[in-house]
Parts: sequence; C-alpha cells; structure tokens
Amino acid sequence: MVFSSLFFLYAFLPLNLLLYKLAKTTPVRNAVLLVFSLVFYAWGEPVYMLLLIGMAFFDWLFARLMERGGNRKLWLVLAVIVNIGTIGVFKYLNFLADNLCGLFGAVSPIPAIALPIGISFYTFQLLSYVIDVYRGEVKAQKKYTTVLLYASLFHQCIAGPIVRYQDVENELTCRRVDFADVSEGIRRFCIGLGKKVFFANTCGNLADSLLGGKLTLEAVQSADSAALWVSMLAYMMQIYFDFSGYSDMAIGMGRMMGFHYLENFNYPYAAHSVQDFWRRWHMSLSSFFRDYVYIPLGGSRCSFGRWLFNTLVVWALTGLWHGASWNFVLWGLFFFVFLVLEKLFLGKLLQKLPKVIGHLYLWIVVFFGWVLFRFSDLQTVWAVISGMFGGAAEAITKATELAIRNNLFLLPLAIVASTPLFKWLSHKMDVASGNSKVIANIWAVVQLIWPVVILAVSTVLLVGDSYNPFLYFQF
Amino acid sequence: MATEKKNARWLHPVRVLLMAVILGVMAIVVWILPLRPTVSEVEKRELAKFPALTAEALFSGSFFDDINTWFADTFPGREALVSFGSDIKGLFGLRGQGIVQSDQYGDADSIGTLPPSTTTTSGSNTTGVDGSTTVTTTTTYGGPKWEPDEDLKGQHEALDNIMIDGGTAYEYYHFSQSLADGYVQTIARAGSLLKDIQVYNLIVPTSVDIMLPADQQPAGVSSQKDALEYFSAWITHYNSSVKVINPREALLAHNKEYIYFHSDHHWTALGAYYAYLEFAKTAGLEPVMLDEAFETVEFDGFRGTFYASAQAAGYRLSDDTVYAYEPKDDVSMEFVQNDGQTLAWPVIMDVSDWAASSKYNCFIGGDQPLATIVNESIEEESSIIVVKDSYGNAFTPFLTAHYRTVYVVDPRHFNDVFDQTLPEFAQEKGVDAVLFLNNIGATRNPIVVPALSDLVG
Repeated sequence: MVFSSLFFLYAFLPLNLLLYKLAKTTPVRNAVLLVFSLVFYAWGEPVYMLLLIGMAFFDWLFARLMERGGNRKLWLVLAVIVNIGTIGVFKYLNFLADNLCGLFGAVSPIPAIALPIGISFYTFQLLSYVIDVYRGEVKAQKKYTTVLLYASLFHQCIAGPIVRYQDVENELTCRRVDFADVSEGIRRFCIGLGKKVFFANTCGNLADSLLGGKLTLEAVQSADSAALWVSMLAYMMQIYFDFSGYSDMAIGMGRMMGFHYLENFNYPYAAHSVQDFWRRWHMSLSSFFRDYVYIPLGGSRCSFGRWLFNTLVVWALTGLWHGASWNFVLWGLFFFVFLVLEKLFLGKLLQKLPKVIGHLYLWIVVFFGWVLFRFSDLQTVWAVISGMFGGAAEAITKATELAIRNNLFLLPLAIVASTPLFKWLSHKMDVASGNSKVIANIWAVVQLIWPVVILAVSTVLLVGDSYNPFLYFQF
Repeated sequence: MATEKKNARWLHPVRVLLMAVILGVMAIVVWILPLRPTVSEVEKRELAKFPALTAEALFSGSFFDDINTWFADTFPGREALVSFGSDIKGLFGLRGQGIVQSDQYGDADSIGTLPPSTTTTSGSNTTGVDGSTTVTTTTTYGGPKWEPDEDLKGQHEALDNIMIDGGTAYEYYHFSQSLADGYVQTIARAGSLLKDIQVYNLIVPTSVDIMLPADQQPAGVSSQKDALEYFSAWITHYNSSVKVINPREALLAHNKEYIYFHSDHHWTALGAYYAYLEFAKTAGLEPVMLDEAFETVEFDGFRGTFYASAQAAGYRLSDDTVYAYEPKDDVSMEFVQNDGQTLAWPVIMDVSDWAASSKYNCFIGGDQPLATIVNESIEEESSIIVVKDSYGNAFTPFLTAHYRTVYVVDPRHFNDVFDQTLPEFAQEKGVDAVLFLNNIGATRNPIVVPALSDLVG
C-alpha cells in the first residue's frame, strides 16, 4: 500500500487513527499500531512479511544476548551477517551473480529474486539498533514486539526515513500528544501528500511522456534535444517531491501519534555545494553511513589517502544502496569525485565567488547526476547526454513544444516549491502574527484551510489517476 | 511557534477537529456501496469490480492491489471528480493544443508499394512494348483465407494517440502492413466467393486527414491518401470485379462543413451523405436530396470517445451535436441483439435523454450483429448487405432510398449469433449487392480485420 492512494487515505488511515484514539494506554496503542503495520506491509507483500518478522526476531535476540554479556562481538558479527546477508541475497545476489557469470561468459544459474518492499530501510534500522546496543548507546529492548514495531511501523517501514532506535526508544514505550502535535502532524502529512500527488506524479507524467513512456536506448535516440532537457528537469523535480513527500507524510503521521522522527530533507536543491547538498538530501541515509561506516573507518582524522579511501567506500555504498546496478554505483562515485574536488580546492573557491555560482554549480552536478540515476545502462546515459548537446536529430519537435506549452506553469512552480520560499513566507507571517491579532487570525485561517485544500486537490487528482481512458472501447 | 501559539490558540484544536470530521465523514461515505458507480458513461467502460478471493490472489498480493484499484476506480462521485481533476490539470499550462499518447499501438509501418501497372482485360501475362511485364488482374481471387499473426490475438480495440487543437481532437492513423494485407485479401476473396453479387468497398478516411491541413499533421501519422490508394490498387489488382469507392476527394471538398465530430472518432451523418453521393455515382443510382427525402433530427450535448481521453489529460473538448436524417419513406427496422433476441427499433432513435457519450447510437440501433431495414415505399424487391464498422451506422439510412431491404452486418458480432458465412447469408437472402464500409482505422484494427476474414470464410 502507498500513502498516496485513496484506500490508504480514506479507509486505512481513518480506521487506524480512530482505534489508536480509542486505545487508552501505550501498550494497547502499540498493539494497534503493530497490527496495522503488519497489515500495511502484508497488503503489498503477504509472504515477505514473514521475512520482516524473522529479521526483527533475530536482531531482538542478538541484542538481548549481547546484553547478557559473554562474547558481545560474536553476537554483533552474527547480527551483521544476518542483516547484510539477507539484504545481500534479496537485493544484490542477482546482480553479483550476473556480473560474475558475465565475466566468464556464463549465464547466471540463480533465478530472479523479487525485492521485498522496504528491505533497504528496515534492515538498516535493525542494523543500527544492534550496533547501538553493542556500542552501549542504547539498552537492548526486552520486548520482541517493540523491536518488531520499531522495524515495521508503517510510517517509515517502506520508504523511510531511516529512523534510529535511539531517537524513538523512549517514545516507543511512553509518548503523549496534544492538539498542537496532532495539528502539526496533519499539516505535515498534507504537505507531503501534496508534494507527492500534485508535483511528483504530474512531473513524473511529463518526464515519461516526453520520452514516449519508455526509457530505452531507442526511445532516447529518437527524442529531440528539448525533450531530453525538459524530461530530465521534470524527473529532477519528480524524484525530490516523491521522496521528500513520503518523508513528510511519515514525519506527519509520527507527530500525530507522538513520535518525533528526524528530518530527512532540507531543501536540497537550495544547496550551494555538493557537500551541502548531501547534508540536505536523504539525511537519514547520509548520517547512517557517516556513523556506521565513515567514522568507524577513521573518518577524516587521518591521512589524505586514507580519507580518500573512506570517502570512496561510503559513496560506492551510498550508490549501491539505491539499487543493484552499476549506474547507481557510478552515481555514488560521481558525487565522490565532486566531494573530493570540493575538499581539494573547489569548496574554497566557491566560497569566494558569489553565492549564485555555487547554486548553479550544484544544480548542474545534481542534474547530470540524475541522468546517471535514471537510465540503467551507460550506453543510454551517453545517448541522453549527447542528445542534449546537439546529438539529437532535431532540436525541438512539435510534440515537445506542445508538451512544454501544456506544462508551462507546472515546472516553474515546482522549482519554486523546491526552495525554502514558502517556509520563509510562513515564518514572516508567524512574526507578523506576533504583532497583530488581526494578522494572527487571518494567518490562522489560512493555515486551517490550506491542508484541507491540499487534501481535496490530491483526492481529485488521485481519482483522475485511477482512470485509464485507453482501455477497451467499442468503435 | 511560540508567537503562533499565543496569537491563534484556536488554530490547533479547530484544525484537528476539522480534519477528524472530514476523514470521519469520508471514511463512512466511501463504504456506502450504492454511491459507488459501476460503469463510466464518459469512458464507456465498466469500472473495476471487487476482486474474488482466491488463495493465489491472496499470496501473490494481487487481491490487495485489486482492492485498491476497485476502491479508487469506483470512488463515489467519480465522474464529477475526474472532470474537476481535468480542470486542475488544465491550469498546469496553456492547453489549447496537445497530444495525448496511447500505448496501444506501435509505430506505423511504411506503406507498401503499389502493384505493378495493371490492365483490366483478362488473359495471360503479356509483355508490354517497353519490355516490362504487365501483370493482369483477375476477377476470381483464388487466395486462401487470411489468418492473423499470433501476436494479434488477445489485442483489443483501442484509441490511438490523439492530437488536440482548439477543442477538437484528431486520432492518429498508423498503417499496419500485415492487417492491411489481411483486409485487401479478405475483400478480394469476398468478391470471388460472392458469385453474381456486386461487391463494393468503401474505406472512409478519418478527421486527421480530412480536417487538418497537410502542414498541421502531427509527426508519425501515416498518409491516408497513400494508404487509400494502396487499398484501391491492391483490391482491384486481386479482383477487378470489386468496385472500390474512394470518398477522400469528396470529403476534402466539404471540409469546411461539420462532417466529423470534435469529440468523437466518427464522421457525422453529413459526412456520410457526401460519401453516399460517391457510392451512388459508382453504383449507378440516382442520389436523393437530403432535404427532400429526409427529416433532420438533432441531439445536442454529445461527448464522444475522445472526450474522456482528453479530459484525463486536462483538455476540454467542444460538445458536439448529432444531426440525424430520418427517411420520410415508410421504413421499418428490426435487429438481432448479441443474445439472439430480435427487437423492432426506429432507424433513428430519439436519444435526447441518453448519456452524453451515447448519442451516436441514434443511428440504426448502434452496432448489432444483424439489422434488417425494409422500405415499404419501394415495391420491387432489391436488397443489399452492408458489412460495416460503426461508420456504417450513419451511412446506412441513405441506402434505404434505393433498396427495399438493407441488411446491416457487423462482422465483430454477426457470428456470435449466426452460424453462417457472409456468402451463405447472401445466398440465402438473394441479395443484389454487398457493400463493405469501414473507416480507415478498421484496416489496422486487430479485432475488425480478423473478424471480417472469419465472416467472409
């Protein structure tokens, strides 16, 4: 199930909130949440739910054993093997086998393994939990169901953020909400919903339709230059609004129930360097790799060569985390190169130049980064880049021109919405509200209506999406 | 945050309450099943049904996916919400012109070469003065029954891409070599099998060709001029006894008039009338005048097949008016439905109260397996079979002025009810002529061409 579906909005979520509200104590509320989380997961992956339940069990067990003393390191190693092994089999085995066999000209004997939804998120959460227990940063959770709830909580189980156990440890057993929490949660959820339905889905449609709905080499080669540029720009918007919208919805639902998940996106396209970008993009993943890979390897307090190695490992892994394909690895290494350049000289240079240069530089890097991210084989990536710079048969076709005219306001609006402009305006209004009761009330009315408008528009667009006019019809 | 709390303390409780009421009401409304539509009039389709629970569906997860689909597809107030959603999408940019893509058809084939220059006399191959071989045409096509390729099976009729310009939509036409050959061979074969019966073939070009100037044709659309020439030449080449009518020039001459709909893939009855004049010319009939022999009836508020597709993509098309011409003669009709039942029905049905999407069905009861129209005002027995797609529906009423009995056969449905081939049926009824009338889209349609081939046998 996805948050941006009518069934979730008007069947699953209301029932969940109602039963949650009716439950009076935290243990009962947790039971409600757990049942709903398991149903939520099983809704898409009935069989793989067992995998999630099993993984949570092993990590709960290893953490408990660790705390009982004895050979703590052994349990940690076992836990890491189980977690990495599981994600390795389900996410990377096909990739590994295909590449190894390809090297020897053989065909991989391993059948295609379907990727369980959310495995990259919940495995990392569980991994952080056992490592934190090992490090003594948190106590092992006595109750298995609490660990299971932590891993499976539907707010973040399938699309993040990667919530650390230590951040929610207390809230898992004791939490309270007031009107302000729930109200803020509603606001945040609706913003996320709007990002997903209004911007991500529509920009996604535009990005796809400009390439004729296909991402193949042929589709790219037959596209005109303008179609490639605009399609990539729309994709750049789609991926930000999609991912950050999901995080907003997760954070919002958490707030409604007293959880405070850490922020996951902080206007990444407003960054002025690649380093800055990665402090703002998918922050829970970056901090995971920072705390569990980069720093244990020695971080930056070491020789330059060692630092280079540490950084390389982190970015290869970051790339690989996004998918088992070489283009993702390259995508990670692409950022590695720019991070190294920034460390060497580019960072200092950018600081001396006007800020706009930094923003422009970041946009160019990220924009072409998404080309690597979007197309899974390098021949196609190259065809896109060369097509953009005059290699295409035509600069612009009539169809592309029409597509641009038809979405003339959408993309600029999306770009503006990806900046902190609205946040800044909102802050100004908050300040003005402090000085005038009239403004305060007007502003409150706006804040009251706004989420309702977003919910209504999203509903209307979702109903429209259900609709496939190209199905059967009689001549 | 602090200032906010101090100044508008009411915001948070009111917002929570408001959302609780909205979600609460919606959570009840969505389960009131009578509020859920089961069909979409605009899209002309049945909406998703609640899935059946099977072990396989449960474990694969498709059961749950299908529940989501059902839930969204039959959402209460769907048609109004979809229409409103279209208006929202319309705000994304300037929506005067646009292209709505369909994923149902691949790229067009290039149109095949014409047959070598032909002579119409019978005889063996002769060598021309310039030494080239002239292939003679035959009046008896001996080719086998055409069978469709495997990959055509399981396909369905669907809209191609449409281009929208100023409230009017134009469907693309993609030439398909294999289906075109299937069509040609089937017509040629019919000409041979229908002994002593005059066979006519009339393929109607669509609006994209007739109504749009050549320089405004969207890229990737096959030339209907070339395709129509291809059909004429090859049908005549295989079987010169078939009389081929190409109404393209006649329609072009009237393209300032209302001969195609804005929101639908059909022609209007006026367009059909101009094609009828061409048919009459070829068949040697004295054409009747519209205002003399017919009564004009009009049904406004028609929103055709393109309307839904355009709406989904955020475009508004103009509403159409269906003008129908009702014969003044004493004409009666009955048709056999898909379930085998026979119904008496007016040639022009009053569809004023019908759904906006169904107004084209005013003509001869829509697509039925077999309709029989008898003109009691004509005393001498004469008859014709019209084998047609829905373009034939607007055309057929004009034929009643010339034939006492007009049989209308829809190849997609006829064999659902009757266990006869077209030659058997024609023999039984003792008809004088058979007219194949289809729009050019039918000749690349994976349902119509195989159905025609089966009907001809």
